[in-house]
Amino acid sequence: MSELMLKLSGVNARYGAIQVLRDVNLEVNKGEVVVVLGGNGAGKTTTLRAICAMVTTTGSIQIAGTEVVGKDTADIVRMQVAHVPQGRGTFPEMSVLDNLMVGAYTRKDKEIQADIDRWMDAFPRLRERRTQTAGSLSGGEQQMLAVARAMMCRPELLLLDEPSLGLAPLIIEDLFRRFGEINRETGITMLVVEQNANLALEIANRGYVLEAGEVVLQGSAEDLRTNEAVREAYLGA
Amino acid sequence: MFLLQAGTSQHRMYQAFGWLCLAIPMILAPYMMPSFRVAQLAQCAGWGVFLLGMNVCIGWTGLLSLGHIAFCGVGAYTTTILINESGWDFWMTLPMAFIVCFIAGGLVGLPALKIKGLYLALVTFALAYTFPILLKIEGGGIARRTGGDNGRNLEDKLVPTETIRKLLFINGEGTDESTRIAVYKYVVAVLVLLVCCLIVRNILGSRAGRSMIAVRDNQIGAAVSGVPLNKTKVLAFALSAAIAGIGGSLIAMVLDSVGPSVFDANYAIITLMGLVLAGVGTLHGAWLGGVFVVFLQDLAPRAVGLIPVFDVDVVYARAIYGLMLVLVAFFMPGGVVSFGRKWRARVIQVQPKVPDTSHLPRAGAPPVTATAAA
Amino acid sequence: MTAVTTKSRGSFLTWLKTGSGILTAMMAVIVIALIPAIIQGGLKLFLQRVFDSLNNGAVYAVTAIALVIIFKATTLINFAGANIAMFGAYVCWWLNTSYGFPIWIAVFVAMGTMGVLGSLIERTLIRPFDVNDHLPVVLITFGIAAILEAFAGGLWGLEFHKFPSPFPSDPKDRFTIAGAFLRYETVGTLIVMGLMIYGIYLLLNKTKVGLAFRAVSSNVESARLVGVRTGRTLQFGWALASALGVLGACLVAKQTNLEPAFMAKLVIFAFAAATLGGLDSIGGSVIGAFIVAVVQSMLTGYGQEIPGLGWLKSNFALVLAFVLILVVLLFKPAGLYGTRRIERV
Repeated sequence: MSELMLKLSGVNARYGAIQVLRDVNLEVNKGEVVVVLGGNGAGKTTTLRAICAMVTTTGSIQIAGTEVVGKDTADIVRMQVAHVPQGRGTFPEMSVLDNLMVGAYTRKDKEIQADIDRWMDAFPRLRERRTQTAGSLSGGEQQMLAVARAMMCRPELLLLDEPSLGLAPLIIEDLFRRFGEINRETGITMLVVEQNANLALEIANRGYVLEAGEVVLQGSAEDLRTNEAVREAYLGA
Repeated sequence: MFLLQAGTSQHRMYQAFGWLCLAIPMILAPYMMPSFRVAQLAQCAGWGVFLLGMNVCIGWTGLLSLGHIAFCGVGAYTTTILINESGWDFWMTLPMAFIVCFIAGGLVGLPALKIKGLYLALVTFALAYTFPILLKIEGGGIARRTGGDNGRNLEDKLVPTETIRKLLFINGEGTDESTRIAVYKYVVAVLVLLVCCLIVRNILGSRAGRSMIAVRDNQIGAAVSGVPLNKTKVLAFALSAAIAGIGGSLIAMVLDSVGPSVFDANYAIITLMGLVLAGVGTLHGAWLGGVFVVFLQDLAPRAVGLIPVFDVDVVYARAIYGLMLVLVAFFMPGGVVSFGRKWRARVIQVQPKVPDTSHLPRAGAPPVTATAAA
Repeated sequence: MTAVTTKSRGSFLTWLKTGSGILTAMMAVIVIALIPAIIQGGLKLFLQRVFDSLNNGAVYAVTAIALVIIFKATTLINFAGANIAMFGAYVCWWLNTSYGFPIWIAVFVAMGTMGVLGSLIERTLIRPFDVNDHLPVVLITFGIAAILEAFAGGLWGLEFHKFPSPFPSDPKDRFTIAGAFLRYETVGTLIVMGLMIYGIYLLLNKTKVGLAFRAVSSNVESARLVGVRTGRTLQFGWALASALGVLGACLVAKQTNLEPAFMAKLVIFAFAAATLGGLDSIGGSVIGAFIVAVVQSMLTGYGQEIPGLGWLKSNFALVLAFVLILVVLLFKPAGLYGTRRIERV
């Protein structure tokens, strides 16, 4: 577990005149689940967007040893990176099946259909609703669809942006259980941005805490769970 | 680089100097130019009023309308028909044109504003396209009143009376009748333009104006702050149509005639280009745009003649317009006015006074100048 | 004749108050008003007017689809579309008459040429701008329209040119159905339109580039995140729309003759068709196109015989199209088949 999957060093990011990330350093090892905690506006989402070149970025971001700052989003996705954006990011007018097909857009192999079956097995609700448009699904179903779609490109690095947002507690728990399973079964590396720190730290190996665009704390999930400041700010204890 | 404190005597002198730079040529121009040029300047003022109306809609409320030319036409025809058929005085037709165009604007705006984004542009462009044809409908005596394809001449032309001639110093032996009429029309058009500018400026500083600007800058933000979106949009659209209609009345008065070819889709695009080239969302952009509208039509064919590759062909004048539209979008999105402001800022900067809010119950109202300059 | 079908829940009256109800009611009023005139004129005349409208319907449909494709992908309305199509038709005519290209080869070459031009326009003139900032993009599309119109007039003259018919067009080339004539040209236009719609269906639903196109239309940001190159996809949309527009122009040019403004005169009908169908629905805009064409043909044909409508003349059809746009927007802004998404925020 020492091979680096993702390495951010000295990353700055800005929207127009507003600087959102300041000198962020972050590392994710292969096969790890790393969680990024932080309040509203701390720059969590921007960190993920910076990795996918969805925001103007300076500094260095390496994915599996390749520098990606300055690359096009489409090229970064082709490095087996999948991003589940905040608010699901499904294609509302397209059917569930087509959503999964789009997920495999970058693939050219013959196993796409097999993968669709696989993820429909994993999320049976999607099979039930495969011809419905994504916009007609419930929030939880849409999140499942978003995750399944992301997995369709057979990613080595999965970026999850607040998957629990707007979902009922039971569904969130189920979802995070699934994330843990997926990580164990496929060995996929995950970087999860989350406000629900309790659940996130349960499946995570390590974590970072962002505040006002800067990394203020990092450590193993265990350390963070017991850290007084984290408990007070994010665990509600 | 000079730094001026707002409210100081230097600043007042600077402002006065600026206004004089504008006012002196405006006052002297009619006395120093041949009468056809003066008539053109009067047209500029007429188009200026029209563009001021368009600016209320496009510039300050952010509604992209391409059909205001039709309201301009409605105003022009209202004036013509009232003068010719009911024997009204020109001045009396202005409020009537305002009211008719306000209602027409509301009737078009109500459905057209139901859809976000470019749909309004589509509907209003369709309006611009349809208007000349509407004039030719033979039912209800429309074509008879509008003159159909040929348009109509104003039967009662605006002629300066003895007193007015004395007031304007055009009573002398040296001035012939056409010069007198041109100068008088120019003065009338410029006066109406000034009044309209003042009205619009005051509206922009008012609660209604701030609502409009809020709708332009951030619809959702405006809505959650209690600005009634639909009402504001429809009212702004109707008001802008009404001002455009006054512009139309002036144009009819200056040209002494109306016709469908002045109020068609072609002019919709030329006027839009004039406005953007001059400066969308600025008061100065309106009159300057009027100048562009009138004189670009003179200059574009000549510019084509300068290019040796083409035969001197008027057809290519349209290509010049097209090229200008593209270039403006790329290089001068703020128009001449914002370009000028940028350069002025390098020479002179005015520090705003801290607004005195001690008499207000709580902070809130932004200073009027801030909104007017937006 | 109306394509409005609604599962009526609850009473008929409540349905009548909905947007589709009001639209249907208006259509019904028009149809009822026409019935006496239709009966009086006889079946032959009625059929003839339906047949006459089909050609227009097909052309409106093709032009409307070109509009819808660009709107779907970018939420832009391409005001240059009509003139891109016009210019393509000139290219086709020029290849055919000056260089002896067979007409269909000339059509395809012109479609290809304007397709390339369309994608270049997207790449160089449209992409630098934020799509949500409408003013510059509208200026640019109008600018392109003006430039193309000027060059068409400058290169080939402002006079009317006869356009070669892509179908058998002898006056005797026609079917006779119940006494009414259905020209081979009309049938040919309909067949080409049908093939084209089927082609678009296959392209959008069965190919990878179609999948990408639908993804970009639905959610640009997510499309980027699954690796779609959005810029190229939009370029593809512009190329497709431009080529289709040229096809529409070539189909109609035989009737209208070539002149620099001939497509601009038709585009309001295409706007009306697309609005009626829902501006982001390809199928809807086809249905809208035929409704517009049939209503236009009926009202201008029978108008003289309806009391109070004696002043309807054929150029008034344009006004009708405009009124239709307003009415649709007032009562059912998303059109017959559009998605709610296009309504105001």
